[in-house]
Amino acid sequence: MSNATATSVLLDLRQASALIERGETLAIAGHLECLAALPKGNWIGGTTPYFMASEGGTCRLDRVFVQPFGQQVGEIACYDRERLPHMLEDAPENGFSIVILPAGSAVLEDYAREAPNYPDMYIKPIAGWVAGVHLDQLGSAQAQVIDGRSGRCYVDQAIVLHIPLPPDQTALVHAVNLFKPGAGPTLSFDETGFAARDCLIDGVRGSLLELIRERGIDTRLPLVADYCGAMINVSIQSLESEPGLVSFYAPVFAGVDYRFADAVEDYSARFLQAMPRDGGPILFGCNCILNYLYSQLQGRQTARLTGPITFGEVAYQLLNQTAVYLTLEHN
Amino acid sequence: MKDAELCRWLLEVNEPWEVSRVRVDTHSRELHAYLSTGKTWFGRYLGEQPRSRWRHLNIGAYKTYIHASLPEQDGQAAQAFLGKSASDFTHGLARRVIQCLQDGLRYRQVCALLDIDIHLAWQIKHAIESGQLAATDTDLRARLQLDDPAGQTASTIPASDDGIWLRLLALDCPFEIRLLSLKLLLARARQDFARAHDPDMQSLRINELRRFFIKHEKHLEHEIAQLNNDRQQATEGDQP
Repeated sequence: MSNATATSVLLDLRQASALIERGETLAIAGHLECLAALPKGNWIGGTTPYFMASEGGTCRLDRVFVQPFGQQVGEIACYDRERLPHMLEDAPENGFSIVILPAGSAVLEDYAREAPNYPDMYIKPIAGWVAGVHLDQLGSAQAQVIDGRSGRCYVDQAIVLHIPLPPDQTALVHAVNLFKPGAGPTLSFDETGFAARDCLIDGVRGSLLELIRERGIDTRLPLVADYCGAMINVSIQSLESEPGLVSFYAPVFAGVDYRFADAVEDYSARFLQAMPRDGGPILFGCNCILNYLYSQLQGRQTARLTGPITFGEVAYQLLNQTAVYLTLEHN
Repeated sequence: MKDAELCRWLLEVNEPWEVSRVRVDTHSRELHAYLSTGKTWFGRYLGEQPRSRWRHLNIGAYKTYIHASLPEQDGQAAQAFLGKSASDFTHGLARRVIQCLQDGLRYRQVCALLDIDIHLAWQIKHAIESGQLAATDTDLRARLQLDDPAGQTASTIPASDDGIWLRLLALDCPFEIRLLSLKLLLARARQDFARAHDPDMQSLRINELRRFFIKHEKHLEHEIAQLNNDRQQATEGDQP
């Protein structure tokens, strides 16, 4: 892959169409009407009107965020629930994959629960994001992904771009998570799932909802687990959608210890500090809608990490409240 | 003839095994054949079922890999296209290496002829020397030593039966990791290891970790140095 490849950028439809017609392989994020207006070509897309542009966080219904990967490279594949576990078997031995999954779909739920056990997981690099809708359309519109070759939209399939690399290049996936486990109790869950009532609180069974209320825990802060030094978040979606139930944006896993995170002051400034100065060019990036909302990123910059604002991030497995990026490294 | 059927003939796969899927990676010049016994439904993913990955003899210029889940109690003869569940090469590849050595080729020549990289060469040599492979006699093992007296085919990444991997998979083993992918892989392997007492499952997890180290060797200098330091310390600790 050439370093001369165009950089990721927020474009109007005319500019994006020109890139598609030039034969560029692209991942495109945008409002559904924008994506549907683009010409057919070698691209994948997903819906979101929120972006981290070079000028700062923004919501645009008239522009798309374009991430280019070179001319006529890679393969596009759609995965339904049955084929999803084979996604990484189809990935090149040396290369990377970009996946977009629609929010609220069964295919996303499967990925969130099972991806850690898929063949070749963590061996072959995969990054990506969860498509969503404008927050004013929650409940009335569906997140969609698009196969640019046909222009077909899907609400129940994952779309993936598999890109091979020459032997002297490697793709590395990174996550920037400013949250760290706080000083509160350790929580562990009996079952893997997107919702829970009871859990072990410092080893004693109790109600998660009562814990949150008794301690006045700010539910904008995620649960955090330490995976051999990688901090993995699970964000709280809602309290009491059913009596006593706490719902999450990603599953909690049985056998993993979680704690509520400490608050992060001045996300934008801390993010700039956390972004590494070295490393290869960034080919792909995304940041979470919850960071955009809770940390008020509209109009604020996040260093050289630009991309769609998303409803879940993929750095191998599904993450929450995290920025993800993929770099190209020369061996 | 369909790809899977063609592949079945080329690999001499026989019943009850069948080739459920074939993937050819033209960039890496690799062929991957996924086998099933027909008990899985169209090669469908079975979640927790562990699957081995063996290097086989090349098909043309393409390195060939076989992927399959072995039955728990496999009483069948050692099929050339399969391997031991804990191994990372097929019986067929091992037999060919031994045959070439018995015909008088030196070990380095065999590896060059069969397109075997340094890491796999190290595993096969180790298997021959430790008597894990049938049909290897004492003479052959001695000749292998003469071929490579200084251990020049040794990899910097320990063999899969080295005790360092078991120590690494212990939940409380401190290990500083820089790559996100390795952090996540090791966390999952440690969780599985704590739950699974099946030696084959444990071996598969070790093979997977070792495969990761081989694939990302150039980006893991820090981690490989730690592995070898820990290994050396453990060896010194074992000495009287």
